Amino acid sequence: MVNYLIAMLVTVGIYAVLALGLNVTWGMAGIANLGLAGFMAVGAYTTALVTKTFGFSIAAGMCLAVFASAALGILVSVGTLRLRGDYLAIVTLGFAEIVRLIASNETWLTNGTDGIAGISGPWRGQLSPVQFNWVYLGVTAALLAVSLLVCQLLARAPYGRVLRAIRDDETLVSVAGKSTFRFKLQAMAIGAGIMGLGGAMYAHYISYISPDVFRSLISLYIFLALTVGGTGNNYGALFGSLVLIALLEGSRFVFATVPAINAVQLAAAREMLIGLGLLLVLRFAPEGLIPERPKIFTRAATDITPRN
Amino acid sequence: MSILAVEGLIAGYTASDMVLKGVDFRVEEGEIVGVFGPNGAGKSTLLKAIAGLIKPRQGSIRTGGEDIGGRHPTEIAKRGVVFVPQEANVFNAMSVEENLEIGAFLHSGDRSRIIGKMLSRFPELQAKRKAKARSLSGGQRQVLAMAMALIVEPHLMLLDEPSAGLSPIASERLLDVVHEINRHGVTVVLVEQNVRAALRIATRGYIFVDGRNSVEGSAHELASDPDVRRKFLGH
Amino acid sequence: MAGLEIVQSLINGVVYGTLLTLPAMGLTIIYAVLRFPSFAVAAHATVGAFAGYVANAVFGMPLLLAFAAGFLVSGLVGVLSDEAALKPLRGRGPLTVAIASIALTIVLENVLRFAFGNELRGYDVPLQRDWMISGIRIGPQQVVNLVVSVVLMLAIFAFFKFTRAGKAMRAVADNPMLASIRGVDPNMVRRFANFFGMALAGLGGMLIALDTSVNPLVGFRIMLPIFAAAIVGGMGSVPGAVVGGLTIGIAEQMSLLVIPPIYRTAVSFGVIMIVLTIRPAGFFGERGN
Repeated sequence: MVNYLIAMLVTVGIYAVLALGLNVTWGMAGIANLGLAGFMAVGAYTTALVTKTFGFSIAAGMCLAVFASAALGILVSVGTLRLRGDYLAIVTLGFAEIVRLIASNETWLTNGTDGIAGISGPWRGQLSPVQFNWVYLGVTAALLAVSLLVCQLLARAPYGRVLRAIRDDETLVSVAGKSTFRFKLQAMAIGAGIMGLGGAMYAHYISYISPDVFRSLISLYIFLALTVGGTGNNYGALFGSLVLIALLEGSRFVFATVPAINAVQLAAAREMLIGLGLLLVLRFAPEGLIPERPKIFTRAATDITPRN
Repeated sequence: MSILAVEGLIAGYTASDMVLKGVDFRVEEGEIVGVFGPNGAGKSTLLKAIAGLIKPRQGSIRTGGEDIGGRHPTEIAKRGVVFVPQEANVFNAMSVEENLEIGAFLHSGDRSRIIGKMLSRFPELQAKRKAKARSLSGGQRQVLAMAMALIVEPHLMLLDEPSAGLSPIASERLLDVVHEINRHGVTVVLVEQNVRAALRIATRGYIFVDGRNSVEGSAHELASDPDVRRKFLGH
Repeated sequence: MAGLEIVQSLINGVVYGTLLTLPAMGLTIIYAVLRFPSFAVAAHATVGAFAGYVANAVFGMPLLLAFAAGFLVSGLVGVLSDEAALKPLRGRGPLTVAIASIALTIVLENVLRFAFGNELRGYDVPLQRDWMISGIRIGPQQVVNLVVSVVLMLAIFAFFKFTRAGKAMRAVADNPMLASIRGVDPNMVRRFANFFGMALAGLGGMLIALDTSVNPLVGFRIMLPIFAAAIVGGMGSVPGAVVGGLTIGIAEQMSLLVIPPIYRTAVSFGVIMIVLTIRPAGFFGERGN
């Protein structure tokens, strides 16, 4: 039981890192990056490959994972960031699907749909499973703390204020003479890098990855976590991940008690719950449980201002 | 009974910022009432509030004895009060004829007949009936915007700076069209920057300052008021 | 021989592209009137495929009635789900609504998965042998699908060009504020656009399922090509959706001559990237940034 709880806490930590990454792009800069699953996959596969094939250390693998995802973040957005936000949403979603396609088909590199097994974990060989869980909880806590620190510094710095200003009124910022493009590109790179870190953390914990893990559904999970916690707020990302895991795990037990429900229906009901959860939170608690900060500008004005 | 009576109107775009801070405004049947004043005085906002695009915070907007404040724009249009905005007042991607068809959307009678009538009344539109509205000249676009509003045979037309951006000649011509519309029995409220030209056709006028009506008088009184002459007529 | 292969791919591309055109038109109509990209077209394509399946394989209706069922049911689900889930979020910006539309897609898709399971199902249609015309293979079902799509496409053009409701929709897409002061109720038009858009997505989903199979992922699999078609043609432009659908359909089928079939979805992605780089507003788009 304790072991299960630790495992859940590790998962919360990994989701929280992913949510922090999403918070940089969506929460702070207002960029709808739907490619989370893709960046996570790139991070996971990068570290799995370099540690397994080239014998890199886990730390080096994780660093490379962050860089690879960040680089792809730049590549994906460089053509589309200048365009409207909704196009970027579609392009990033497509990117995630293509990463999955590549992972499924380039067997020489990724071992295809069979996935990569036996990814190393810190001192996994020398420890009992319970001890390993404790150690990895520590690793997760440390990496989460570092990510949180980076995000907090980012949010407090003038840089963070520019990002939020871009989110709230991009034209205003560009009129003020700032290059919104450069800021958004950086936000995408940082966000994607953190998402890649989350993927790497996942790979070294579970020790097995396959394309199926990185379905776009996971992006929606993280959107739910971030929205529940409070979009724009780093601590909200943490808290929201806790709520998300509680919901996912709780529903697993609750739905399983329903008689005559089969495995497919169980999975369907849980996914439904996540979708429904996001819709309900967006509608009834859009600020989340920990709102970003008191709003200075009301957004209500957009309701009556005619569009051009 | 006045065709339009606005009393103590307070309204704005956001909850905190009231552009109109207490407006009393009255229009009698058959008039052309000019509304003048500096930018930000609330002239356009007044028209939008009457047309139902902004909900009044306080005060009343009555037409034919009925309070229409806060009603849906379509409801207000059905009561014969039509608004022609200053910008984006035609459907750019649609032809002149299709614009008029949308204008006739609320008309219950023979639509193609009334559209034909409108086209023959404005020959410059007749010549361009298949052309997309975005290809029209500034003056033609204003005429189309007004024609679209006239199709429902309104009692009261609210015009927001119809001559904005037009050359002096086109602007004079357009105000002649407004005058002509008025002679056909439509009461007009005319917001204008070009006070001199507007006073030529207006029967009465209001000067707005900072969200309130400050001066009111007949066109003649306003034209001879030294303060108005200095501020708006340039001598 | 190579020449024949190219002609065959071209024909397959045109057939597939015409199928894509219907949901792409649905997406673009909803975008033009409601101003957000609705990912829920994917879910409604699946809803249409299943509605047609129930009508045809469960209740034994002929295919033509099943088309009508797919069209109507997905249209109705479109209006109801929008009223319940997305409409309350409209004041909060197009991106928020777009994300909510993904959540809605997950909900609808899983309702179907819950009810029908993951297995692949087929319509109750007699198996017909493909025709061979001087070395070119054409399936009778492909021809039916092509005819249905083209007829519907023409009907949609006529609808927007000649009917009062169609013109009202164009007016709201053009200038919602002006439309409302001229007496066109934007809410009514939005409902109509939703019905119409999702009904087209549903019918498109059903036609594609006829070609492949009915399962909860029908819509999700064609999501990227649908969006690619709409973006390439210019979001919000109905003729654009037709050109975009054909472009994506042909590009995808032709690419199969040189790349493994598994990467066909990647073609849509590639075409989006290329077109957005060269012509950000798409072929027929008016609003770039």
